Amino acid sequence: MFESFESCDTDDQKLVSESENQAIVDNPLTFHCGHCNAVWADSRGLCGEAPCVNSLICLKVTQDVTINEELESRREGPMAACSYNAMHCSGCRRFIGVVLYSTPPHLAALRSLFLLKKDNMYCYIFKIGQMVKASTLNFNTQRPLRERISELKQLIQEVECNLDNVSAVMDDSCMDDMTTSTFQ
Amino acid sequence: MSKTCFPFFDFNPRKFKKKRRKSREKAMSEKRNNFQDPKGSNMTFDFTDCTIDKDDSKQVTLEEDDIDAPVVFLCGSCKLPVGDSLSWAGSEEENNQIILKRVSDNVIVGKETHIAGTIKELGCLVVHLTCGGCSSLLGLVYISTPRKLDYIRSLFCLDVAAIESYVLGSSKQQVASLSTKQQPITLEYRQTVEQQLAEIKAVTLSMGQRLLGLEAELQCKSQM
Repeated sequence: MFESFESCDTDDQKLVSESENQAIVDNPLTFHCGHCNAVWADSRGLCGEAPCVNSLICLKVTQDVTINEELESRREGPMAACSYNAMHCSGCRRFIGVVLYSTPPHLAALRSLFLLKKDNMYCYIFKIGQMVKASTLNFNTQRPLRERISELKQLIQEVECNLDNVSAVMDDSCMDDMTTSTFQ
Repeated sequence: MSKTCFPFFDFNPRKFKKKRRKSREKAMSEKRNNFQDPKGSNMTFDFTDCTIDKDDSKQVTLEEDDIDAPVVFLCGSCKLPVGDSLSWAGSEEENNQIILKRVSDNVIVGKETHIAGTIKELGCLVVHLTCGGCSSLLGLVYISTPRKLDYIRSLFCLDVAAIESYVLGSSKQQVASLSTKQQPITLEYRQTVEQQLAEIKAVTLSMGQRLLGLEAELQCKSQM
């Protein structure tokens, strides 16, 4: 049942160029079951993807997703030593992903979130009105926001330095003017 | 997911708050009424009108983002997406139809032309729209119309009874145990923040440029 977690469809990802891909990912999307077309989730609740388990990270899923109440666990694969609630498609009863409950440190950030497997998932892209395989799209966030904010902070500090320089020069010239005028 | 009973006719991507733009709303609603009431005297609704509407609706969706969440329309029997509200062109209450400017490639446009059935449409030629997944009949396209039905010609008319809908953001199951602080941000939110960061960066850069200019000017003056 879980073998598919190990196989990562990277070939398809290369087909779509990154800029094109980004434009698609920025648009409204719905995520559908590859077998029965049931809607699982949409782009409003999407936080990105977890490449290590080949899944999308969602905050919300539709009622067409059934969450098992019993905890399960496994010993091998990318989710080794994790316990989780399995999710199934209520349309076709197939296994579609997990909600992690307890994990080793490298998966800790993914706990309590809906992880929907990308294989066997289709995306409907509003802008072009087409269905594409989820495996052809990359939902990875490129750079952490923290990095961008600190870059901006640095830029502002540089400008502030400049401002200090200019105001110092202005002060000096004021002083010069004053001294020359008093001597005269 | 909402079933077919979803009130399609209440849904209108061009709907917005009355307070903010009363006059525009009035103009728009007049236009809407005309659109829904083809019997209106000497009214011709052509594609130029449609494009104007589209531009308006774009602005409106930016302003009132949450009121008009996009909707995807699905085949009633096999759930394949057949179209979405971004290409909304109106609705026909009388015939229980919604009208879209574009449908997804899951919809198959029939080749055989038929003569439309009802008295109102008498003399119209139509082609049928079927679902690519389950071959069920979804609606029709009027390919030839008398003058009074020109506004509907070449658009995709989907039968409300044959489709279902899903409103973006209407998913009901949420992660329970996480507080908002622990929750990761959504891509949509991230995009907004990134856009704002880019704007701040642009302003800061231009401020830096102006400062450099001032500095050079001051140096020139002090050397004189």
